[in-house]
Amino acid sequence: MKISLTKRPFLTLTRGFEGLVSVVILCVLIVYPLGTLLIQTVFPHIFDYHMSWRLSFRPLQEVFQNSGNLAAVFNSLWIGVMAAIFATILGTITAFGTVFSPKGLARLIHALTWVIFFTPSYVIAQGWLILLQDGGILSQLLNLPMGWSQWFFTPMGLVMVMGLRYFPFVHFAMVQAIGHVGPELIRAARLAGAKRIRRFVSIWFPLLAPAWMAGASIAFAEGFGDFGFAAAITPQMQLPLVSYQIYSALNEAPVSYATAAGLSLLVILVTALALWLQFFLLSRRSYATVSSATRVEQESPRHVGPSGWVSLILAGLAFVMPVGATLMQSLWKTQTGGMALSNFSLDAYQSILSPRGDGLSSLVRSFLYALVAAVFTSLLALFIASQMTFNKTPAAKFANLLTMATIAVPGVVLAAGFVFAWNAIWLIPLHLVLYGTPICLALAFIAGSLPYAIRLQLGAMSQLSPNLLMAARTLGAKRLTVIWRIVLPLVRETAISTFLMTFTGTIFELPAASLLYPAGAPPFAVDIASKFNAFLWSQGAAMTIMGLIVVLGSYGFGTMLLRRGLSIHRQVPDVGAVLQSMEGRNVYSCNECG
Amino acid sequence: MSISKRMLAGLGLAGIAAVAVTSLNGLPAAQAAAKPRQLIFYSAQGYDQAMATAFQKKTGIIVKLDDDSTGNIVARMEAERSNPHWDVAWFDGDSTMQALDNEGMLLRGFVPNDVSNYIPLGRSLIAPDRSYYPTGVTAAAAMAYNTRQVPAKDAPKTWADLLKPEFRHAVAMNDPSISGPTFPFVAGIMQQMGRKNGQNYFQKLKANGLRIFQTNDNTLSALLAGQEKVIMIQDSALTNAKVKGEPIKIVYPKSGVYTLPGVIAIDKHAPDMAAAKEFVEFVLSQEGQRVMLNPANGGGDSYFNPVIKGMKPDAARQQTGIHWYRVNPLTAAHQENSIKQWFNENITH
Repeated sequence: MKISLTKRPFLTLTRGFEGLVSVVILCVLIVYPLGTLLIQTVFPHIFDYHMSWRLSFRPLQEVFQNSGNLAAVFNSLWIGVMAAIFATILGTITAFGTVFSPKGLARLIHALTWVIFFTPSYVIAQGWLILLQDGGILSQLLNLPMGWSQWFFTPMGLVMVMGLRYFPFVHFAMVQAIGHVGPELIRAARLAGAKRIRRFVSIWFPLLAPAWMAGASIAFAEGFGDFGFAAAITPQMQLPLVSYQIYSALNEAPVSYATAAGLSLLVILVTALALWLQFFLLSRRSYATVSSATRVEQESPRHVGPSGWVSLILAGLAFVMPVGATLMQSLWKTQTGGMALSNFSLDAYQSILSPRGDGLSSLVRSFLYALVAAVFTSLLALFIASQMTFNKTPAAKFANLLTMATIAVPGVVLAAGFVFAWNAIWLIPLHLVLYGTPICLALAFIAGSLPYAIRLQLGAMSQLSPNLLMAARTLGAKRLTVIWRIVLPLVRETAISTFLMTFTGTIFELPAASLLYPAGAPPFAVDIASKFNAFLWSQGAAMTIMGLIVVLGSYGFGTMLLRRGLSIHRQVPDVGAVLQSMEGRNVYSCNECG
Repeated sequence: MSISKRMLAGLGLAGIAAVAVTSLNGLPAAQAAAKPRQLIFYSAQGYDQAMATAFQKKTGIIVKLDDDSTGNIVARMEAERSNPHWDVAWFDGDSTMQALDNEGMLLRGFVPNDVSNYIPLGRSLIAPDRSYYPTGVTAAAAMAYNTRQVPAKDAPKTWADLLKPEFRHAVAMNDPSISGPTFPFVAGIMQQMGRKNGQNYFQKLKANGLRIFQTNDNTLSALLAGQEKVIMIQDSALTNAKVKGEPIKIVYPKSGVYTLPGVIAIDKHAPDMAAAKEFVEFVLSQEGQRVMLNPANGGGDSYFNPVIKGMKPDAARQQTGIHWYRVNPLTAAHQENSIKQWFNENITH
């Protein structure tokens, strides 16, 4: 049944207006900056000191004629696909392990998965490198011979660590979906004599298709455009990836923004194609598992099964290995000193925390940026997602398309767009040159996380039954009252999730921070990078660990807030919702909800 | 009701946070009202923060530093080219600076008042159109070996020694497309040996198992971890590792090492031109050089050879026996694309 709360023209008008506001916000934050970059693929000289509208297809030609670029796209594609498949297998295991484990263990697996989810790729990639390289931590611990880790520097090694990094996307989607399937179907199957394998093949697998496909497609999109792994590991294995090609187009003198724009266009198109393909496959049949019938509550098992243990080991491995390696590094005096007791010290932490060190001030600075970005991102996501869910105006449809298309735009691309967009000469008479101010960087942080946050909220809001809202309206509640008293309380979990996600993401965000920070006030990630650049490995690692502690602390604090006083049935913050919103079925057709 | 209270608290938090960030970083609008002089300073040098502090203390001009890798600095300068914010830019690599000059981004013809302080090597590295000035010089690459893996008698002495079978699969360098100091090294080899022989040399190295890492950082860590026996990277980074007690020895080949000057330039459209000029003169003064040469200020970057009269390099740096081969930045900048592309297609991949 379609939602139609009212048909009065006045309200339609105000709703149209609100929808328009959503689109304007998205345009200012995302479309305009991306546009200023992408337009340079055909007008490469519009941002020269002497602006010129001379049309030229040379940048595009260069992108497609350079064999390195095409090889990079091809590599990224197949490695992205393999990593997504591996992530799907891992995520499926951990999801089943979580659902069918006692509460305590389930929480632990879930918390680990969360931490992996928001730990930045480059931290994880760097950690694996420290751990596995020749003479690295593992070879020092176990006295391994030179070359033992050759396998790691192959595409298969890359697929493995990427899978371990991206499985949370699948995990979150699956946990929620498994919960929705409910025990009644399984019981029915059991009664009919179906064995475990048969139940998996005939019931779980097909019914969970939307969830694992959504998780897999995001894992693919993330892996395809990922820069962390490209920067840390692939240079050692001579395997060009497309994200790395973009980076080098921006970092090689002479810098070519036109080439970077052309490659970015390619990345956006491939990602959009992957998501579209997934929508197309899913739209051919119904996967409705959520019905209004009263549910039998699934009881939590008392004993830990094999899937629980395997999940714990997997999630533990994916987190403890790279982060433990980073911790070890932060405690070493010299790289070659290795495991000797005399090589351990807290010097790195001391020098960062000392009043002369700049690590602390940049951490505080990033903390504030993260706070601002998280507050605005979660509020904007709430507003825009509610527009998109409850008002089916063309503007809302456009906003939907936009958030889908831009969810996987590489951070460095959006950041470069921000420089052009907010430093443009046409802003000078308007006094709107925001580039070089903290506002510009804060806007970039918001823009980077907003598409994700909106998808997250869309997933949550799509679960609200329109009947509930209609009932409130029928009883005479005003629109604002409905939103304030009914919608908000029901999606606040997700709001807190978006808040946490943006917060932790911003603390470690590097590409936007590096290109946009106001001179004299470097954010935390820039400081970490400069420590590694200056061979201060221990200090860089120590700062990474400190950042992780802040992030973990905030996460713990956030989940504590969530649990206290709020009656939560789900065990976890509602990240699965974003993946569910990617499944399409909930977002625009709430037909089966009523 | 508690919900709405929470929401209100959330909104309040948003406001507080917004105020916090603006007050922490300072809005330019607020600064414009007070109008203290300020210098926007983009730099990739390790000692840039110390120099900024020293200059600010001396002149009262507020220095706002953007410290990043050379690649990021140049990317930022290029992105702002229609409306530049920076006054002074400073990094290693005259061919990179020359490329920016070729685009007309740099102030030409400026003559600092202390230009007579240069020693001959320094004078030879000044841009022909005086768009940038050398502030010190390092070798774009020297050789270094891991003393735990290579006994001193087997150490390489010339570039050609690296082609020997005992260094098969044991030599590494950086990617010139990514690492700032590496392009001048590759360009230097090609200028000294000739393009064809130079390309030949790298192809033979590749046939002998040369590995390419991204930057100094990755390559050095591969040497220290024992993955490689010999590496070719910027000598100041090598000196720094040696000072820290890592087991390496540095070799300067007799045939020469290639000049990699730190170069400083002023924006053609500098918001505060006078402050920019004052800063460049401070860098070229003995007072400024002393700040740069202190490893406590600059870490590895402080181990450079000064090009200003009366200045001595840090004691940790090899003082004699370095034969400098000057890389022509005009030619290098001109050939940059073709050399990098050749290297990328034939050596890196």
